[in-house]
Amino acid sequence: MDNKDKDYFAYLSANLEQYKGKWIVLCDEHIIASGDDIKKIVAEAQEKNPEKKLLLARVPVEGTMIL
Amino acid sequence: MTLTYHYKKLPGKKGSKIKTPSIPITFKGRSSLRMGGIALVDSGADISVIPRGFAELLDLDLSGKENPSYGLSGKVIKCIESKVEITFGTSQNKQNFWMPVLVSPNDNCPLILGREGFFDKFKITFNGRDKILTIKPITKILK
Repeated sequence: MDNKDKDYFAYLSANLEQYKGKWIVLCDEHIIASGDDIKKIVAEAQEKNPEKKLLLARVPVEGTMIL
Repeated sequence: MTLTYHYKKLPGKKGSKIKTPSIPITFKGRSSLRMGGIALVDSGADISVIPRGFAELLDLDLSGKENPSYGLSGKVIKCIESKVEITFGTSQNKQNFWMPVLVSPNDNCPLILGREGFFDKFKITFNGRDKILTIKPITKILK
């Protein structure tokens, strides 16, 4: 299992209540950045963890998602 | 070989939880960056969609045709036609190909895997009772 898989399983089990409506970045099984601006949070995550694989996810806002 | 993914429990209305079918994918464009993302598998979407900020990170070609797109609200938004390289699966069953995407004008939409260029490569089963998504290649994908 590589880091990306570990981050995916960390994402599956994470409680994301506090991140509603935000983008999150996972690295080493932890959420290391969150916000509205993808480029900004990925840059922040890359600065904290250079060379590491990152996993980006969108947490929906409260309500029923119909796309 | 079939790839199996569990639905993700996400915050819903007033403390409730909703379970959504999504999968981890690595995206690549013209830049050297390979970026992982959780993408919602959406059989109702005609085509895959990624937000503008993500497309810019990957340095996707954003000079493509504008494509008026709409959802439930009926409001038309101007997306841009592009394409992205995706990789997912396991080391024994790795899927890698370029697919068409629409780039949304902002960062408000999730990463969405729609039908064109994705669903036509797989037999995809949504097991709503057990909250499991399975993806089985139906053709050999030639690069």
